Amino acid sequence: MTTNAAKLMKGNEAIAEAAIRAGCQAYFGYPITPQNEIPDYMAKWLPKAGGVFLQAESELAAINMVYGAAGAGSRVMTSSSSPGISLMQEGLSYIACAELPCVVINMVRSGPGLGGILPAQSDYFQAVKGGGHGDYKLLVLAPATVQEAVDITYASFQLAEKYRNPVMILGDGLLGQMMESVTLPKVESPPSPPDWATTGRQKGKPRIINSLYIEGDVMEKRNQHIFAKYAHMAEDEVRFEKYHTDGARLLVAAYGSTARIAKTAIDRARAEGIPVGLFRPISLYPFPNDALRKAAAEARVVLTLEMSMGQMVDDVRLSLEGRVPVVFYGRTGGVVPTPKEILKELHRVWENRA
Amino acid sequence: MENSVLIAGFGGQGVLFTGRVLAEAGLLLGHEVTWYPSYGPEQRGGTCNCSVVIGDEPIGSPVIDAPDYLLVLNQPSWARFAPTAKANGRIIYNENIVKPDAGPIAAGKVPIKATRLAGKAGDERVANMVLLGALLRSLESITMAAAKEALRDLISPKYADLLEIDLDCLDLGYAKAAV
Repeated sequence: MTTNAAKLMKGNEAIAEAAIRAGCQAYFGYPITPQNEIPDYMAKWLPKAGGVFLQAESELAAINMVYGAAGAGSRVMTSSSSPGISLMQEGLSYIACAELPCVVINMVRSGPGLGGILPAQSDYFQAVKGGGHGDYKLLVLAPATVQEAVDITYASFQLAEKYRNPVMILGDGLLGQMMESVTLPKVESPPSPPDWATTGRQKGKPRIINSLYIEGDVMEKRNQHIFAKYAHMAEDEVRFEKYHTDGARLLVAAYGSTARIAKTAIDRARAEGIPVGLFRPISLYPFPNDALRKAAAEARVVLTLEMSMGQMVDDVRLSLEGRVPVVFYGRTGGVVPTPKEILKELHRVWENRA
Repeated sequence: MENSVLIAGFGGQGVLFTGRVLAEAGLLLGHEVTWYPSYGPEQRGGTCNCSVVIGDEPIGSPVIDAPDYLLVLNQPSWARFAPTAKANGRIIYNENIVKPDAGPIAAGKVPIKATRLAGKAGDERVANMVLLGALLRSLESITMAAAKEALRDLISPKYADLLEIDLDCLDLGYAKAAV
């Protein structure tokens, strides 16, 4: 893994390699399909790069190992899929409160419950609204191609450190299992542990990492402090892609795998004369509210497509504040919509527009 | 240009590997490619398939609803996928294993005695390479030279002794396929 020529890689393996190249020093996780290639790759290659790989006894243990390693100033990540991410929510809440950086990959599978191993987007709410208890958010990024997954993974460690907050990369089984051409970034060295890391007292003051704040006004200050960071994220970290949105009278809003399938359907629909474009949020939190509003300026109707019963559609509606009718189409259970199916929906929505 | 190829058969017939060779050849030729395997519960003891899309522009959907080219390696896959092939597409199938149903299929049919040809070349197990060779006859975006280079790159050391037979099978399939 030293050459930088384009190569075919599975999404999961490409994410793991990008993390190693970003200077990830420690990985803790527990196996679950459809993301097993990530721990598999990490087990093989992270120790060779000087890092630590450890298969924990559970997801609960894994996220607390992440908490500990992050507290000691290591670049650290974990990965899992939906039910495993649910088990990590307590730890993520603690990590967000303690203001520690880490990267969490969630290759979403169908649910609820143990669900199935096939692709889904039904954990959007859990990812973008906090997920665990208390007032906090994750910075959530959703790639649609393997190259974008590499670029986002590579950038995510520095974003986590910039905000001292967990970053979640939200993919699904389709992105994880497919192969696509990637060009890998250069190998980066991790930085020295920051001045808050619990690396031993030495001569300074004791460094304490904690998420317990008994006094009401102190806890409130903590809440206000971390939300000031989220306001900063909303200024600086909004990411999105626009595809034929200029003059679009029918605007599709979709993210991740669904967005790329929608592109094929949109190409076909445009060839048939429907003035349709795509708005693809890449940062799901912070959500690209203003950009979506601008992209929908000329739209008669907005169609949100998801592999869920309708989750991001709520954020689309909040962004548009009732300016444009918003309709929804989704598949669930691991059923991936086909371009043909989406094209049919584009026709139906366009022909029934107000 | 965008070509979609769906390859379907039983697990163990080399379905995913055939797709890998095709995708890797596409990459060698500078095309955009996607390779997407079926990874659901159907893999164990049942059918398995993989979707390869090759294009000049970045690929949108890696999921294929109507393949331009369909490679059929077992009977259940005929029933499931043959009706989905594009009317101007081609279905290349192993006629030693697959009997086309009587139902209406719009796509062109390319029967290949893949098992028998592979057996004559030295090993019946590499019937998948005969079918891939047959595909290359009509799939203009992938050259035989690129497919052979991809095969050399991808073949595992465990099967290194099959490489020459694999290469012969690509040529045999190519020669037998009607344009």
